[in-house]
Amino acid sequence: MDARGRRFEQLVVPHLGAAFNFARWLTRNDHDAQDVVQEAALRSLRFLDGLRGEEARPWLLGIVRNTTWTWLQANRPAELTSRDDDSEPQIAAPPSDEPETSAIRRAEARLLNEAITALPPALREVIVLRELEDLSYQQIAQIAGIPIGTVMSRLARARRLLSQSVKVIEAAADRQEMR
Amino acid sequence: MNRDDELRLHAYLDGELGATEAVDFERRLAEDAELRKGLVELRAIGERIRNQARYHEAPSHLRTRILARTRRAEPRRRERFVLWPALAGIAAATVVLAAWFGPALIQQAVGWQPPLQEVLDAHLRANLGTHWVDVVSSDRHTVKPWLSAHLGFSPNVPDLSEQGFTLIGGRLDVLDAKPVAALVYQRRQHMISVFVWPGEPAVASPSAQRRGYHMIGWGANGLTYWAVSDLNENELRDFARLLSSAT
Repeated sequence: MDARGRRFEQLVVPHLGAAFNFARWLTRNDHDAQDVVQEAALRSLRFLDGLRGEEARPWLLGIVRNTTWTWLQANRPAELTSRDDDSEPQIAAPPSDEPETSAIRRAEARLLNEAITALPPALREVIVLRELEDLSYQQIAQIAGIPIGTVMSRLARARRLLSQSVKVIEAAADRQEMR
Repeated sequence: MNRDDELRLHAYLDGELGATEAVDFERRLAEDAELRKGLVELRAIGERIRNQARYHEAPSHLRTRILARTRRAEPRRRERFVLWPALAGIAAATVVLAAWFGPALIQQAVGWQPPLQEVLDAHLRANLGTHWVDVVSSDRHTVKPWLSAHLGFSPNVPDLSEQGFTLIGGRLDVLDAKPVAALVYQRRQHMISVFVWPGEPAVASPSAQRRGYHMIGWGANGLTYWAVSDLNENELRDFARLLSSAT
């Protein structure tokens, strides 16, 4: 294996898990996420010389992000039309027939995940990068190609929407307990 | 709460305020009940997202697939695969298939030693137990000597990565009470076992097929080779052709 191949396996391969999680949240589909990650990995191999002195994980996530966006534009352009911050995503409604508390807890986690899934992609990506990848505003700004101020406003907006859907879920849980 | 305060609240929780800014903000928090309420709510939703949002685990074959593609154009060295988890899924599917096989293959395998059924069973066993290889290596110069040292014969172990077949490694197996070599290659998520033992086959190019598994045999240099896989027949034929023509 040549030096580039060795660098690829040392620097990029350890972060394929993060790459997949990110692509999976953006494409919302296992199969498409695999295709995107594979494509992004090949791109990262080509661009590997450009990785100098920065962290590999956010660097790779930036490539995954661009690959996914290109892919979405080609395959699901409708999803990107809601890219601006002002569209209102649908908040998932809780089911009305979950009988037990453990079921409610499970339902809470499921509904939170559905609520994140329902966010417009531009909000979803900042939430995933911040909460699941623990990246800084600066890193998120670089990955998503947006100013830090936009990262802040999108993050605030995404959390506000998720907070609202959690309240809807909790209200439903309270109703269950009062029965 | 005004917009600036809201953004500052997020930045404070995310550790994105500078030290002096954070001190100022904490002073304001102490004085402002609404701000404090906002902080509690925000902290709650943040914890909830971190605890409950799903971290999607990459399917284990994805890494193997990517490595197979990125290594394709390069000369081979010793490489390590984390193989076992990759095979768990295949194994699960095989449990179902194995139950269907029954003795049907033996009829097709008349005159063969060992019976084709055993050859197929050995492939399925590797799937079930996820014991694919004793020597994990994509370097043919590692696999070949290891096998010949253990078996007393030396199967051909070509590097077919450029053609999209990744060498995973080799192992010893026993068919009909005789030790044989098993080479393991991978094409996408499909595993290919190649069983090798001394003696040419009785028929020139035998093949068999049952319920999605293809088996293709050939003889070369006094050895019999049998390739077994759930890969589609055309690709397995390509593989058999490549393997038998490589030296």
